[in-house]
Amino acid sequence: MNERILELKDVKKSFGAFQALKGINLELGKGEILGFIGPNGAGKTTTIRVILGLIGATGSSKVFGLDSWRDSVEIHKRLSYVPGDVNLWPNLTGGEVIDFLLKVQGQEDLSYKDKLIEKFDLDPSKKCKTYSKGNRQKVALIASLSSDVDLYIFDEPTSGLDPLMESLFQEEVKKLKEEGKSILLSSHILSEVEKLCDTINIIKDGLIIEKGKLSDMRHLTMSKITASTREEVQGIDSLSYVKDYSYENGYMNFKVENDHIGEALALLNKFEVLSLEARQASLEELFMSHYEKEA
Amino acid sequence: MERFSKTFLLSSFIFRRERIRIVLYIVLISAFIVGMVPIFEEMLRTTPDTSVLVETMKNPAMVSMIGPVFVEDSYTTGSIYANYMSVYVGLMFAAWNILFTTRHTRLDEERGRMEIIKSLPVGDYANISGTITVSFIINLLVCLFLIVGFKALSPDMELKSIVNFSISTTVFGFLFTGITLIFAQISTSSTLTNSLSFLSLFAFYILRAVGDVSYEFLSLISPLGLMTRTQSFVNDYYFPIVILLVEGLIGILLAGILLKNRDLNAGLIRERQGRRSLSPLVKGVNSFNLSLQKSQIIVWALVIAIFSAMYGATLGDLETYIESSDLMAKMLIVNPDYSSTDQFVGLLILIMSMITCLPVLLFLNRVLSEEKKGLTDAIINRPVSRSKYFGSFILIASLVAVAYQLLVALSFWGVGREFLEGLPDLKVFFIGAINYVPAIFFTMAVAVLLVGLLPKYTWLSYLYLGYSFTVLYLGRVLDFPEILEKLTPFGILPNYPLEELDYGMVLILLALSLVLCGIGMYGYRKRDIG
Repeated sequence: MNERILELKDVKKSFGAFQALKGINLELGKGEILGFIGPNGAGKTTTIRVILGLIGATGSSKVFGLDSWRDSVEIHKRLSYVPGDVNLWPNLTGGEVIDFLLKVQGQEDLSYKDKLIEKFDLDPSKKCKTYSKGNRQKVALIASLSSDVDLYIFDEPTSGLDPLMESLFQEEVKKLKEEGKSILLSSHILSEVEKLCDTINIIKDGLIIEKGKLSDMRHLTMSKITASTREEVQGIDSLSYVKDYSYENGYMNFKVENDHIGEALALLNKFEVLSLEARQASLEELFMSHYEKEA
Repeated sequence: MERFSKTFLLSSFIFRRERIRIVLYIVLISAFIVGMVPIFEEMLRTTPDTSVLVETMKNPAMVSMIGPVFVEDSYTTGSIYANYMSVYVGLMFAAWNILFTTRHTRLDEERGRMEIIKSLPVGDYANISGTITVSFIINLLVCLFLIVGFKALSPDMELKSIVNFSISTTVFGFLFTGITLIFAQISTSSTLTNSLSFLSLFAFYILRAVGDVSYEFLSLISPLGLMTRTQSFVNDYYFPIVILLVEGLIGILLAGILLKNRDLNAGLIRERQGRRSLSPLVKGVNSFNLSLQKSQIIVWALVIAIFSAMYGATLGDLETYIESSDLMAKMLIVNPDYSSTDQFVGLLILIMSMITCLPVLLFLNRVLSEEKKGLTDAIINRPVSRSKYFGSFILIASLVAVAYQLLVALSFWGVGREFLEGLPDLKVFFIGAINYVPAIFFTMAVAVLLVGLLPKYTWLSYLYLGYSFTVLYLGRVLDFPEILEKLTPFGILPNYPLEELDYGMVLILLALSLVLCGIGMYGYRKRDIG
């Protein structure tokens, strides 16, 4: 295994009686993009804040082998963070804020900044109080992407961006990966995670409920089947590996876990298949069914 | 040292964020404080025997309000200035330090800006050490401006006393940077940080007031009382300043310890569990806006009740002191046909009415702060007309004005009658207080007009109130032309019980208030929101 950039072991955090994190384990290797997905309130942002040393927690949270809470300054020299909800200083301009953030970061080479300002089509001479959510996000993203660090942490980075800006951002993230940088990307937009990430961790109610390479997770993924048969099918909806069965206009629709797809097809065949369409369920659907299962 | 890394950068960042505000503050506050000197020079020039002035200042009522007298026989410009002004100057400096410190600590944290800063390679203490540094520099600059200003404007004042006065007041102010830092760690919102800090300032003031009149020990525990113990322009002691500095340092250290042991956005005081659903008492926009402001309304009611009670408590010593000094008499006696008690009651109801007017303006102007936060949209984009929305703030402010005036009368009378026999009936107090309600309405109507037509200039309404206060309060001593008093709604109304009630003027003021409110409402309906 290559160098560990990020390693969380059994991280727990409570706010009063509410346990926000119930034992998070997380790993990120050098040059990897880790997708961190989960619904609102699952603990994504809390986990990120523990990693950043903004809040303390029990268990161990190490970045570059250093302790998140104790060695935060040393760690922050080598990482850059964009919060999900970017708040800036109302009476300063976007340009001023970007320069200041880079200065504190210790970034000396500022050449990339201007390229990004142009690319993201930001007017840096406007005061931050006039910026929309998307523009504030651009300010933080430009400051982050033009910092030359080893780890980038993005918390729902594109929630305020339009699709064009979103794809520009994804382009930049891929570029970072090619340069061997590591990235932690938290999102609830699965298409984004699906496109960019090597490894995915799904968090729910303060626990990582699923993790692995995208390819490894296919055992969990499902195929969506639409089929029609000459005879009426009996018993397929009661199979444990079949979900969301419905019958409409002579066509049946259901999802089947990929490791059981053969069995399902064998069953269907008994009733003389007239038509069959199968496609890979998107991560979105996987995700939904995962939560339905939990519920 | 790593824990303080990038302090310098963050300090310069604060300077950059505050550049205009800092310059304005330093210049205006110094000018205001130094600018008061001629008033006292004038006061000394027109008083043949200043030892009489000294005697009047020893009145417990005065001592409780503005601090003890250290002068033995007669005043110099410096010593009368310090006697009258040091407590108020200290309060002003403290107020600025509180607001500044909250803005750069808890407010930044609450608004999510601290999260960005803290994820950068800055030390744990960099932000508070940066805030302290900037606060220190600004307080130092104000101190230097005061020294230069006093010496330039009044060369007779002794330099070493000027230095003592300037340092003691600015150090007291700086102490509140330390105190506010502590509250910024333990509270979870900027509002709470400000409230707790101002509350402690108020407590120090009360402690000093009680201490100066009866148990001096209490004044010595109160940093404000301690500050006056420098006895500037009399003895120019420095040991109280040293103690204040030590207290400030302890505050800073404590804040540092608290900061190190807490999470971002967390505090020691846990947020109260909120309601799961709207209170059934909230039925519409009016009651909703009322519920938004209820805690402020209660806090101000307490402040007003306490102030009125303090005035009530001074009634007992009144006669003796009026008889012992001409200036006091001049301040109080407007119409010699009436008893001095009536005179005093009239004056204090007038002063309290103007104090009441301040929170009334605050409650009215809440409509603008809601607008700035973008909260107005959420209401007026529903089937609620702008007139109804704005009207609800006017309604609340008006009702509060009446309620506060009744409270003034009740509290002043209730405490006063314990200290003075033969106090007029409660009815007199009620009439006196209600008499000024139209004046409060008129000042509020000016604010309504500004909110509707010139929302950037709402501070003018506060200025107008400040003008009323200055003219009517100082005018008693300084003989301003009468027209200046008549330009204020409080001055144009008769001072009951000394003068006959003037129903005509009441009607005129009410009518004018209605017209101003009407124009303001019209403007609010037509102008852009946000």
